[in-house]
Amino acid sequence: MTAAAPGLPLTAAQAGMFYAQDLDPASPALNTAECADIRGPLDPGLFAQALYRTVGEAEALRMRVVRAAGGPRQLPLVIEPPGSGFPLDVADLRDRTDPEAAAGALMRADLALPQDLAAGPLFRHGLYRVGPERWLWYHRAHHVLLDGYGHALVARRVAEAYTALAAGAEPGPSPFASFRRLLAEDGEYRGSAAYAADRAYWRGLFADRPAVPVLAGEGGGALPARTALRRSARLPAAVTERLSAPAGAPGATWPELVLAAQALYTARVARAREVVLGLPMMNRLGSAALRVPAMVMNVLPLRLAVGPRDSLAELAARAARGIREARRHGRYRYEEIRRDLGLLGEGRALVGPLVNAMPFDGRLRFAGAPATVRTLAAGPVEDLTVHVYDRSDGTGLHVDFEANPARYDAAALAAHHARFLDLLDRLTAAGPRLPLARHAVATAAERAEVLGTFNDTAARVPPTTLIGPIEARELHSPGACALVAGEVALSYGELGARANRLARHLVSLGVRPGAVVGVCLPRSPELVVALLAVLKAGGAYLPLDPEHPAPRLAGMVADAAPVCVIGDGEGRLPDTGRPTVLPATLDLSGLPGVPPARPLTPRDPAYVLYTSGSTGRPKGVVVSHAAIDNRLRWMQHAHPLTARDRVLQKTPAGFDVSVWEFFWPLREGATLVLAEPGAHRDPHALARTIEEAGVTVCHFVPSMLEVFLAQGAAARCAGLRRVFSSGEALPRETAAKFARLLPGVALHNLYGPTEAAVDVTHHTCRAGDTGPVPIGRPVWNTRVYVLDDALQPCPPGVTGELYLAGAQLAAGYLGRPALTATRFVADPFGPPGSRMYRTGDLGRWTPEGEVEFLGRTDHQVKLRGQRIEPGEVEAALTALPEVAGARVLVREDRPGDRRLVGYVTPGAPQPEPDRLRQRLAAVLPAPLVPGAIVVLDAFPLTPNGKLDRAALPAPRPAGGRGGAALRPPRTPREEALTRLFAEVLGLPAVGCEEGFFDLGGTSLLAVSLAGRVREELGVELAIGTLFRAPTPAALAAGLAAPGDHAPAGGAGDAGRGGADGDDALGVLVPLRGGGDLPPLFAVHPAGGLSWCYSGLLGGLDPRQPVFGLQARGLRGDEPLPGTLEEMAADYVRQIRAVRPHGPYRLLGWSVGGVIAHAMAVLLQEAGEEVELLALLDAYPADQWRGRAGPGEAEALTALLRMAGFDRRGEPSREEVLATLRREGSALAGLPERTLAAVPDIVVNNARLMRAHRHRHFAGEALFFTAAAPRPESWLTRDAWRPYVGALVNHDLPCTHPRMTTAPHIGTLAALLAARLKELDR
Amino acid sequence: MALTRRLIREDVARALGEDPDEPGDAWEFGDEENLLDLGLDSVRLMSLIARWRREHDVEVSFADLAERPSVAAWAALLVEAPS
Repeated sequence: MTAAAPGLPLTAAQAGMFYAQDLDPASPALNTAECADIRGPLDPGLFAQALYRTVGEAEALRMRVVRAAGGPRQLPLVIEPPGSGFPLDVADLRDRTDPEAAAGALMRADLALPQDLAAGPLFRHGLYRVGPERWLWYHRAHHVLLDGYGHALVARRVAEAYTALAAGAEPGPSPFASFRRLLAEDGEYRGSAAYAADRAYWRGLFADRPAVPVLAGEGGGALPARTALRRSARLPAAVTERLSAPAGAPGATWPELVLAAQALYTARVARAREVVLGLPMMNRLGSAALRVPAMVMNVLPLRLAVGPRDSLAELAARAARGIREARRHGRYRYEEIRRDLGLLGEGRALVGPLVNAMPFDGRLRFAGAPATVRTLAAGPVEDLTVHVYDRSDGTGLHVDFEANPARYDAAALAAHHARFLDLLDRLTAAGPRLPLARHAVATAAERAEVLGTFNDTAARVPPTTLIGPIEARELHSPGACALVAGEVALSYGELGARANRLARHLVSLGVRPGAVVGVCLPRSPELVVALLAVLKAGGAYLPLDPEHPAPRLAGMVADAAPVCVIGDGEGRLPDTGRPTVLPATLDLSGLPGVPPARPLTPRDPAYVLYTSGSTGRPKGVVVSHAAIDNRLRWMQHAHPLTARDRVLQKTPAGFDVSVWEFFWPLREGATLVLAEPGAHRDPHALARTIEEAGVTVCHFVPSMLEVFLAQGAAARCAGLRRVFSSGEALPRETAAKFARLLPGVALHNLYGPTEAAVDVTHHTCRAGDTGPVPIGRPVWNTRVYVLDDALQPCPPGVTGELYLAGAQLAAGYLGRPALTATRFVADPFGPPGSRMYRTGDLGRWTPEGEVEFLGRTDHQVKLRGQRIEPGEVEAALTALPEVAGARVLVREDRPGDRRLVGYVTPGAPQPEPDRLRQRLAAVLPAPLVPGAIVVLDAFPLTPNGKLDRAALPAPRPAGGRGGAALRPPRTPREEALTRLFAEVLGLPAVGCEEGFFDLGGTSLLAVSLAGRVREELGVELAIGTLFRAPTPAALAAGLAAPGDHAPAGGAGDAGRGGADGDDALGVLVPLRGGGDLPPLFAVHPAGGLSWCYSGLLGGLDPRQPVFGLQARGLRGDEPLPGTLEEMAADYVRQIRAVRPHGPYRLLGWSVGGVIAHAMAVLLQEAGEEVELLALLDAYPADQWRGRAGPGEAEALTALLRMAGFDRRGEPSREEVLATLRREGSALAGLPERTLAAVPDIVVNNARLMRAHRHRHFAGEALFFTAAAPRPESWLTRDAWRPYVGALVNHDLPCTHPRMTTAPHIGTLAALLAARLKELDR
Repeated sequence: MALTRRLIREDVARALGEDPDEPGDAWEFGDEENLLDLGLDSVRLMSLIARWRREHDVEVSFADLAERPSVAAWAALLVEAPS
């Protein structure tokens, strides 16, 4: 570029605003505005003159901004005087019903208008008379012109000028410093060493990408919101005073204290130990900008650790040090920090809430009329902005919250605002030295609600035991049917008598209250007799599941030291050294059939259940009679059983659900129905039992319930009355399916750990409900706490950890006092001496007082900083007819390669993973589309019916596997290659005929493979070879042995390339040669190679062939084409050689898109159909014409870009080559002459492209925009409109060079696949 | 009472959270030192302006002080030359 562009450059701050507007030209969010409330007489004519004069003095206001080569420029604008077009609206609104409201409406209407930066003027005034001596002055300016401080400078000068004019005097000289000096200062900085140092500082500070604290649900699209919600409040005078002169923190200022308070609030709500807040800074101290009304402000990210022992004073001091440090590097733009860190675009925030402190005097005086100024709009709000300001009008400090409506609704914003004000009050009242852990974020009212109202569960229960009510039934209705197991039926009298005799035998062996008795029996009447007998003897039973491995059972027996173990002599139990009782071999007929005497109290243990411990050693949970009695009495009250009910017992006795299955029906005179051993895993066997035995009540773990519903088993269960579900999160889809298939049957969702007597909360599902299924409200005499990290109660809507207290808590872990003490801790909210249990589960209160379960404290699903609700993806999957059930989770099968994986069970028709992903891509944002989907016949379940995550297979990447593809290796080299493929791809095994790219290989992984092949086999593998021979078999056949002539493309081969290199550098390269669909032809970008498209393969239908078109001259022995038309005609001949007639599918990135368009025109003119023309961020020649093409440096940059390095400023070919070699790039393995040719090709392509004249293509162009801001801001896809029949666009949140890299290429492939699928139909 | 260079130094030290009555080097900054680097910000600056207006009847604008933030520059601006 030689000729100077007209106008002036933009400051970096202005450019930030320009690009922000450019991202969404129709958004009014970049409008800023203030309103001055003038009370007194005012002469509108003089006022207009003062305005006109001030605008004349403020050069920055008189600008419009246009796109230009080398970045946007600002051009001066002639502003007409008042009366001749000056943008001032004067109106007398005194006759309106509510003049002030009328003025407000005018202002809001004006603020809602998006501004065309190229047109201007980009400011506007309004002067509204709303009373005899009251005026409202409205001033709107686009953020590209002015920031808040700039507004203040303008307002002050207008007041000064008016005052002078009103006195008949000439206003003094302009107080403003030169805008051009500001531009010069900005330009100097950007070329300075300080700029580079600042950039390095911020990169270093955020190198670890700290998590962004989030107060609300994530939401919003790729674009910032166009509007904002606002809540305003004035702090009570006492709070203002305490913030302004904080006792105990003399050095702290109120902005620092408010910032510290916001950091505390954010840390607590987001459950973070460290927060990153955004600080809008005036960015003018020590600069000429202090006197320039312009856009200068910046936002700086502040990392702030918030420890529970910190005091407000300490936090404020830390904030002050942080701000001081940040300000030293504060000229570096926020937008650039984000860009440097790759944090542009959707879901890639750098900071949480912004805290904007405005200490400036808002008082003005227009001759005799005093005025106060308030801000109406301060720019876009990404998430939440806290404005704190003092207008110096005696009203003290004000705190406004402004929020992105995509993330906060009005109620949520109001709640956050109210809580923050309340917190400020309490923080300052308590004195700044108090540890912050003492403060809750909940208000007193919220605290009372979540601790009290929601936990109002007191109910009187008699002091009984688990067994007492059963013995009462035995006594009063001995003839009633107690138990059914297949053909066997026992009455209460029979069952009681058998159990009583065995109990007497146990007593004779020393069993008494407090003693433990092991029971190792399969599900059978004998098991029920044994459990009752242990309880009747006063002991606590320890279930030993006969299906468990013997060593595990032996460990439990050794740990629990039972008095004896009841078995059946089947050799299931290893020798434990404990006495064994075999009831079948005993003749107990001589013992009385009535209960033995025993000094049993409700405080004695009823059972001991072992649960897995995080350290690997199971721990025995000891539960008292009182605890389980409370649980069963609540259940009978809430969901009463009658004598006619039949309850299914199918849960293995080692899991706590079995406790209510066994004992609840026996306590209530109902019938216990035993499923066959093992039947709990077989939905059809269960359905048969339910049907044949007339079961009315049963339990399912949600995973099993889904299987049960999916397999058509449910239809046979007409007699069911209620189903209880617990053990894991109940998906809403499962509940909805239940309601459809079993209308009239109640579904209850229960939640609770073994440590709190089975269940502590309950929720009854209702058909038609949406959203996550809550775990509900606490049961009788139970308190549920949702606590933050400081153990303070969370208000409704805020996530915390679940703690449980009340009657049902277990006594603790058997023989593990230290472990017990860490999980059962003092309950600070209960009566003195009471305990609470820490669950490790996350949850939050709904406003209605139900708890929603939100996962584990230790199992958060988060991908690339984005929180993902698997339930949402699961819902989308199960909405597809070919999916019956779905589970979505995050896997990391290759180190560092965390990805979302979906597991589905088939519906009808049979699901195809690729197709499922395409359909999801059509309804879900890209990050929510699983990278892989695995079809399973059934979900693997743990013995207790939960989803067995560990047993889920690692996903096989998309593509047809099976048959011949899985052929095992036949030669040592094939063996080595299959092994290396599997290693690099992170797969358990790879077949000889499976393609590297079909299995999910990318060019980066190809580099790893080449390295491993070199190490293991001692041969060079060029990436091009891999394209030609992508399977282990083909590669084994093609690779030369060590010592042989090195294959072409090897780094040492400086001469004419051999066969391998030839193919990889040919004009038409099969990236995937096979497949029966019409091939996709992908045209190279400027550099001439088309390898960049290999990343598409994994996301496209495996039957979709893909050919790359590559530039002539890559071998360095051909002339380069003379026109783009000639090149397109050449490529058309090439593709017709493999596909003589259409329909054709064309794609091109960058220059490749322009070539593809020219090819499409040629094909169409030849009468062929072109059914796909995909343009990847390619812009027509018109947009480039007249602009300088790339020189050597840009061409070398393009070469680096092809190798995946997004970098500029590599000075020489030698250094570029060195970079490629150092970074292990596959390109470094290209022949020297190819590397030498690439820059020439780049330059030539740019030249041809600029000279090209487009003709019209009648079809549709499928466009993909790299939506991140770019320096070439003038580029617009709309420039294609004259040359295409239609244009359909998809935005990708990336820069142009990143478009063909993960994860964007995957998104692109999914979108492309969806379109191709439509064509295939 | 007229504002002096010494009073300016003491008030600045206080605004920066130091106690000028305590011996120590915490507030021993040079008269030419950039006060922004020591933690002076717009709020502290505003409070100094308010204090000097109240206690010494000095009128000075925010920009005047913020443009050249050092004790020496401020003294040149605010302290009347000894007569």
